[in-house]
Amino acid sequence: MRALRMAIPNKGRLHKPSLELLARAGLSVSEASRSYVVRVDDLEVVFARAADIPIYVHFGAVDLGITGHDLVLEKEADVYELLDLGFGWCKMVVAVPEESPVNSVYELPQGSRVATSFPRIASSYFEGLGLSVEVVEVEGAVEIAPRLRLADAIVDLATTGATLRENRLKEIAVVLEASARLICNKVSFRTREREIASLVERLRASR
Amino acid sequence: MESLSKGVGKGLVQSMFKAQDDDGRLVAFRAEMTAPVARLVSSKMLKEGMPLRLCYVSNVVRFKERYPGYPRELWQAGVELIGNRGVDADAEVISLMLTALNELGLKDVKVDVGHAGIFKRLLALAKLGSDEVERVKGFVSMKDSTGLKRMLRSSGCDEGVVRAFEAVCEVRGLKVLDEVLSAVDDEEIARLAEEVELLFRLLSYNGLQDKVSLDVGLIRGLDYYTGIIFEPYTPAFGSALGGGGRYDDLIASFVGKEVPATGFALVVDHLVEAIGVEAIAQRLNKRKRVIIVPLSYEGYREALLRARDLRGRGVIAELHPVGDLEGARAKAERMRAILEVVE
Repeated sequence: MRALRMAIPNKGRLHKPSLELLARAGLSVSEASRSYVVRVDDLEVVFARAADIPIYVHFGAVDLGITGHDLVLEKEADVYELLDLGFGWCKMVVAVPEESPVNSVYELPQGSRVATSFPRIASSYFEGLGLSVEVVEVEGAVEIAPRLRLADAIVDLATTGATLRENRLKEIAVVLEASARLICNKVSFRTREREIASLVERLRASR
Repeated sequence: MESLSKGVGKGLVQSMFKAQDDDGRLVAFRAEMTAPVARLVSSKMLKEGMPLRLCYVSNVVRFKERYPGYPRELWQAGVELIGNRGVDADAEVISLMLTALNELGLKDVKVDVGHAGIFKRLLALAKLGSDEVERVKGFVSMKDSTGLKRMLRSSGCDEGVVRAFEAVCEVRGLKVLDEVLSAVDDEEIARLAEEVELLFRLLSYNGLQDKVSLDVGLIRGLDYYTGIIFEPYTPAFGSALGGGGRYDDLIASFVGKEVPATGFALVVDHLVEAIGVEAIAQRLNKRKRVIIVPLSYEGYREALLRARDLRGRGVIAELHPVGDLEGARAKAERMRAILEVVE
């Protein structure tokens, strides 16, 4: 049987803490190698974009992955979240320009345009509240959308609120809080139960 | 549509293909087979000696919004064991399912076992509204204990219940039962836990203890389940191959008289993918194949009897057009079949 495979973020804010977690668990991945796949003991570590990892795991291309809870929800990946890894905490908020008279999502006018790089989470959030808004997907630099009149509000990650302030935006609601998770393919979880359980225990103890 | 919708739950009813008939009534195509079988049993078979053992192979159609490429028509092969309330019935259908999968050549199958009764009782103890229940199911199906704990605490759930749900998300195997019971001291859960332990003992008599794992967080999409539920998995396929479980109240919803039942269905399309089309073709080709050619109508009767005899023994026997010896030779060579000539 092939080695257990785990995908970890190749860059971004989850990259370094993921490597540190693995190192504490005795699995040192050498960063010098630029290859996508590195073998560490019995584990194959695959470097991938954090946003793609839920899909890799969903389809079983890898058995396990480290990625953000927000990305699992956004990709609607049917996976298990076995561990809350404690790092990478962030919250996703709804924000509007500081000078806007709107102070809560319920005050957003019907049909307001909302820019976000999390269209599924944003749509289901507003649907859940019974609010009708138009969600537009942008890949990045979401914060400038209101300045450019692209959107009336945004849904974006805001860990400290500094980026919001810099772009003269104010938070009017929290959509969700998220952190890094160890996710697992649902079939691997059952068919490679022992190997996965022992790896999970190792990581749990090293959190 | 009404009769197909009984007990199957909102999700499945939404996924049914529906149409209107000429007097405006809503009609639906069946999206699964257990409810139709239950209806058949209620209307025609209750006078027969119990337990009943039924099987079917049938197509079902359903609509899955999330997976645009997913086929809408699937074939299900299933069995229903009706009229036995005991755990021996649950053990019998799980063993039968594993035997069937083994016969098909799927060797490393694992079965997850859950208990709809325990899960429903935990939900009752949590005293949640119906929206919250759906959210709990979402968290449990992702094993997201962090999100689940936060939600249960904010709904004012008892701390014991929160700990029980945490165990449901995080612990696999029979030891989860002790953890749940130490978190919530509940007589009904204790009784149902004994049922689960008995099931695992019965399965071990068949040598199946390494094939089954308890996961109380296993949720099957259908509402009608009342007791032990299960799903088979193989590394060769990316989701469950099918599933089943106990539905003691479904037949009662048609006849008002309680008739316990359990069963399972395997999705034939998934099995084909897991086994592999080539492996199936190879297995079919392994069957002995004989081409019988009568040289004239004088030999036709003998050829006919020979073919019938061979077929009775599981051999694929094919009668070739009378007198065409050359064609029969060519065909036998191409199909790797044995040629029999009847004078």
